[in-house]
Amino acid sequence: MTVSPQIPSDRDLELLSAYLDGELTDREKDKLEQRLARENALRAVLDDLRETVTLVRGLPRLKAPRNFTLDPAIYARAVPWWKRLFSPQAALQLTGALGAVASLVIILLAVLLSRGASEKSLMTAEQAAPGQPSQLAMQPTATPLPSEETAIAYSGEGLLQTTLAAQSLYYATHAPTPTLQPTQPAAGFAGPAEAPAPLAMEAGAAPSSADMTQTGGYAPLEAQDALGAAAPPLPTAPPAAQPMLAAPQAAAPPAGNEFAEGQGQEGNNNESETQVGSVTNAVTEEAQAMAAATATPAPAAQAQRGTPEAASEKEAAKEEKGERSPSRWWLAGIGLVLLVFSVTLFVLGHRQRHA
Amino acid sequence: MDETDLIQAAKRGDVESFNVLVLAHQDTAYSVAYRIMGEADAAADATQEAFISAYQKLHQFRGESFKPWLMRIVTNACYDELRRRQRRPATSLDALSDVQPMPDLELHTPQENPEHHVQRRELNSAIQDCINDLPDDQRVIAVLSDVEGYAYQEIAGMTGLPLGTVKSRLSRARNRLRDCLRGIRELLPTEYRLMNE
Repeated sequence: MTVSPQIPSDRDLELLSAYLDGELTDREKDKLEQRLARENALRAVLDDLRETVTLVRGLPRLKAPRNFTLDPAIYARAVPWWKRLFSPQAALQLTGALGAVASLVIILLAVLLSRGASEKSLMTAEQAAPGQPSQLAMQPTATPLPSEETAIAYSGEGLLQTTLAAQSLYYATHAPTPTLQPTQPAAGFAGPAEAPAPLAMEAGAAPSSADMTQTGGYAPLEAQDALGAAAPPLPTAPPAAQPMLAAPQAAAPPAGNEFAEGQGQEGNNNESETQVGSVTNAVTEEAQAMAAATATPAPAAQAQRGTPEAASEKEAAKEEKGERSPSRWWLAGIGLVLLVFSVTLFVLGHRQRHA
Repeated sequence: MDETDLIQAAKRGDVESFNVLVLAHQDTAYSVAYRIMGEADAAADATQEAFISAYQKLHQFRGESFKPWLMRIVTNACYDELRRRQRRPATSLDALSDVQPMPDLELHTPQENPEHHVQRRELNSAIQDCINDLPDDQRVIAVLSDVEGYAYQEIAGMTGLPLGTVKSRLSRARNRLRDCLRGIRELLPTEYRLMNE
């Protein structure tokens, strides 16, 4: 055995270090072991290194001086917002919030619809109520008298008489009538607007365009002026006058029909007044049915009476709306229930998130 | 709940689950940080930063072994702390004193003789001083290899260094430690003899 006095090179130290850790290949290991067998200095260095590594590896594992745990109140925010948004608790909370908004919209919608319907009904009642000068002031383009005359002009026969009767009715109903209820004059006033047409049909005198023209010639001058101003094309009701026509009829079309009958037969001012009183007291379902039946026109008359018929349909629709308007509060009720449910969901989600 | 479940829960933002992992690995992390930094406060700072960084980077964890992944973060935190201190060298009260205090944080058995405990503490303090004298790049490798016992390949993965660089740095570190501890070994038996007498 020969002892090498040479100082180990960096390469030899690296080989010795790796040899201690078993990180040499078999070939490197064999060559190094052959050298270690020959070189005492290299073997001494290896012993020193082994002792050094043993000392260092003998260092104890230290204990942490304190806990290094993270504060959830601070570091829980490190989660991306979209992950927090799609957590079950957040989804519950979001659903509750959206539901609450939707329910509020439903409630608001229901309130607005109901209020609008009640205002329409109120306006209808006010427009139909005679003897109130403010109504005429509010409807300057559709005064009752020309409207009545226009409608009466559709009836063809007995136009002059019905026109006079309508005028007399207008003046009679605008006079104070203690026996009439507030809605009854409305019914009586609404009658002449369209009722003469069905009456004329029953009498077998369906008017044609020529008839209409002729009867228009028989109409009083002021009635003709009103006709031309308020309703130049006869088959269609003038837009301004239409609400005035439709609204009273929506209030009590059957009364108008009865009134028209009496008006066509009597044609007398006094009798018209009395007829108004009797008619307004006879607002029944049967009269409505009769109005619907008499509103069915003959083909020839249908073309001419398109406007009154369409108006009656609109009136019927409005009547239905008027009847349904109070029932819109069920929508508000549903919205209220939905609101309570949504708020409950929101509170549950909020509590679970912060539990 | 095993470590994998805890990691998955922590990935979903469960800090409490991550804290379970912290409690399981904080001694190892602090020990490595202390051996690298050589100072208790700096080691605690680096350890805390490492756990915060680990929680924030947990989505990058791809299912390999958690401990080496955490040690890599601890090592990087120590590097960052060392660089920060090199830019702004601050002399602590501990550094002003002649003797660097060794924290009494070692895990020892209660049956140990108090005299032996003192001797062992002095020896460990001398070894730690030798480690502290190493250059930063060699010190990290020496701690990971000889203190924590990681293989070369694992150290290369933690530090991002080539395997050959790990080998050469470890060899130089051990050679320095050998020279440093040679004098201590010559002194310690005499002191032991004096203390025993």
